[in-house]
Amino acid sequence: MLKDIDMAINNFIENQAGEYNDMPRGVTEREMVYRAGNMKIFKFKREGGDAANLPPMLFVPSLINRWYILDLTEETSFVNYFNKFFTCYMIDWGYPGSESAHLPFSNFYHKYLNRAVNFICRDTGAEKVNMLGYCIGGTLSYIYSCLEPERVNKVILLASPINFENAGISSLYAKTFPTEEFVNSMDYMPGPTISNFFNNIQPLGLLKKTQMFHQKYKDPKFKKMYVAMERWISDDGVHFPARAYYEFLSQLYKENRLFKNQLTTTDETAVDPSRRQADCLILNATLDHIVPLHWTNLPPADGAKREVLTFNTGHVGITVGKYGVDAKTKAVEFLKK
Amino acid sequence: MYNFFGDNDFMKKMYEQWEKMMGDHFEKLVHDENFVSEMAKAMAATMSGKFMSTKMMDETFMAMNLPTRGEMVKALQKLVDVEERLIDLGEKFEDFAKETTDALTAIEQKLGVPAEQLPKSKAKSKKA
Repeated sequence: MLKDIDMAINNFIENQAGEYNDMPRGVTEREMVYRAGNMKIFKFKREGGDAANLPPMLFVPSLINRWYILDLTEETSFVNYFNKFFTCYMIDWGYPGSESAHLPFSNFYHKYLNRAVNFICRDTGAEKVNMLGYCIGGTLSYIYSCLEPERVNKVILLASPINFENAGISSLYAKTFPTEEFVNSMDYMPGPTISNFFNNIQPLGLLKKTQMFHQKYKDPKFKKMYVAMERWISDDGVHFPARAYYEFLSQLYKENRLFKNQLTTTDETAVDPSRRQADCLILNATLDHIVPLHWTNLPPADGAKREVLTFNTGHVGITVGKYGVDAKTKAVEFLKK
Repeated sequence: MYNFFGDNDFMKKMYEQWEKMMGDHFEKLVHDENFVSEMAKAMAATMSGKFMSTKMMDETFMAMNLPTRGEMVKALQKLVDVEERLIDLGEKFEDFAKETTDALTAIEQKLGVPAEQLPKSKAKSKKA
């Protein structure tokens, strides 16, 4: 009976989605140019070959979602727009499973980003790269720019948490999270559990989204965007490897070590924000319930140049909403300065 | 608002009222420290249950001289470590090869030695 209902609902959704059900995950033409373990690097094709006069662009997506939020549809794609000016690369963190459970968080923000930057520099002949990190991807990019200041030309932090002080509801969840049981029993934090957390902090979010769908689903533009978003957010969850999740939660959420200048990698290298050289653009959103404005503040020790642009939108709206267009235009202007 | 009730104003208002009430209620609930800690306890109990069941399964498999899940995961992780090591070494080798090639090219330019008279090691490092 339940299976039948589930099948009927799926059929209804697939019929409604129509051609959009087969939409590609990431719309800009690309090829996989590098693979190491779970991590892949995509290079996006551009007319006229590589942009030789400007440093290459590396997009660093979040660890808890798939990369193609930055390349969701032709109209909203950051990649598509940046690709007109720069040679663009994107990291795909893949789908980590039990085999990645023992990998430390520093592997992601140092070792793997270093591999990506080394590869891009070899591929293009450049000495430095520009980086754009979204959400936790921005946190990783920021830490990398502190660790390897000479490898980063400019860095853009798109709705990225750096200062975890007064984390509100998130710190309450982090404080009560059963760390010991988690470490003993889990190989990763399951993607659906992470999604549930975000649903929890906006309890009527799902209801409102469904209402909006019923009101607007006849508009093809809306339907395309809705289906693309749902395929990204509900249909393609990513697990967070256990040790990395534990370190992320305890070192950043609970102890705020990055902001307090106390974060170290697994091999005891200090992450020192005062070493950072790259100009930084912070793009944040006033209605962001996942990364509130004060979370995007840089540590006091960080003396490098920075600009802040705030948009009246939410965490996802800043990438795919109407303010996304402003955000990417300003970002490219910043990089070309 | 969701237009499920057509033009029925009374139903519309009731729905709006219900939505507001539920919204306020859930908002309070998910921000309540007691509720969150109870949720965490439930999660902890589930994780402990998983730990116990995995342990039992592992012991059963061990008694039958079969590889356990834990052992297989450990083997997988060792493979990942070996792969990581190989990637690191591969990249170090590539960097070394590039540096050697660059150095030889610089020497060639300084001395004005034609390419065909270069030592064989250069051709090898270029290939790498």
